[in-house]
Amino acid sequence: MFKYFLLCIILIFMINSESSAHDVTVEITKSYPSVIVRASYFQAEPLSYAEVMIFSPENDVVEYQYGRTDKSGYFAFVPNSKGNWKITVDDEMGHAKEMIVTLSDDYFTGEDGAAIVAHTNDRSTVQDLHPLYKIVFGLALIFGITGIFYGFKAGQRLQSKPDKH
Amino acid sequence: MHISDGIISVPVCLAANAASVIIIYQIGKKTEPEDIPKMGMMGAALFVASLVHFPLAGASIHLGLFGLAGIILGKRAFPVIFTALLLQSLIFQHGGLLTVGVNSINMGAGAFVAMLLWRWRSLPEYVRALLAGFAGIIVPVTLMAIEFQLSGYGRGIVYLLSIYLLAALVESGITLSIVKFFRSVKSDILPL
Repeated sequence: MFKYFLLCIILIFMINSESSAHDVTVEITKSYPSVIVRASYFQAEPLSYAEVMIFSPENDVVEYQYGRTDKSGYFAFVPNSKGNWKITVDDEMGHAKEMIVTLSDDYFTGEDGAAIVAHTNDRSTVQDLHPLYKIVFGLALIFGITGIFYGFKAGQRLQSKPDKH
Repeated sequence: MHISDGIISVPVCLAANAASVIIIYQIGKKTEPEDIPKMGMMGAALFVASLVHFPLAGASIHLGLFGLAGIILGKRAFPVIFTALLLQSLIFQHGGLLTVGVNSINMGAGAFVAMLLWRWRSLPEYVRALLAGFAGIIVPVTLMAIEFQLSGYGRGIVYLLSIYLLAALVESGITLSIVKFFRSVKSDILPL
């Protein structure tokens, strides 16, 4: 009984452990006149061709720039004003990251350049998934638990009623 | 209908969780392998049903299917409800994690009352199905309202109950439709 119980617990808590296997790191470098974004898993494997949206301080609804990272996970844009710029990176597989980069006057005079201004690890969890994936994930767990429970009870019955042949 | 963490005191939540585990263990001991596929199917239905929300009178209501669970599974509905609520809490943050026991007892009580009503053989089957579906919602909501009152969140309970009264009526209609469907296809999933 205990081992089946343990198996169910492991199955349920895989919700967090399995999904945190993809830590996403986004590094932003201010390099006047551009801002360079690099996205990677574990700072090693690049988020190649991930969707990137840039929103200017004046308009956080319509993108200032839209595109994808290159093969190495890089994306660059040229800002035209100071303020808080919103950057979102999404690999469309459940790993998304949103960051705000503040550009001051120093940036536009070239005095605030080539510095990594943000470096964030996002422990991507199942909470980042699309609701449909979450439903499928939950159903898979329910059927998995059902199978484990069935195996346990069927095994118990076999032990209590051994085959006469 | 799912109580979040921080509303009910921690000792009460822990006691409810302990009681839930004991109930699940006792029911699990008596469960036969033949019952388990039905439990899995019902668990999947409960898990999905409560994710479908309908806006109503400024609030949001959702299906529960606890009455149907009581009809089909009887007392075995409790472990199914507990599992569905635990997964909803972990995956969707729908209800608190610490309050899974309290929520399971509330909703399990609804399923239990539904089971008793379904076994009231002197009534016609459609009346039993309607009553079971109604009880599956209104019993948990009443318990939740009492718990809110005891925890000092008394205001708005009448509003809450009136909203869920409508939900219970909708649910009783859905329960009746499902029972009629199972009868029409002569499924043996429904106990007599």
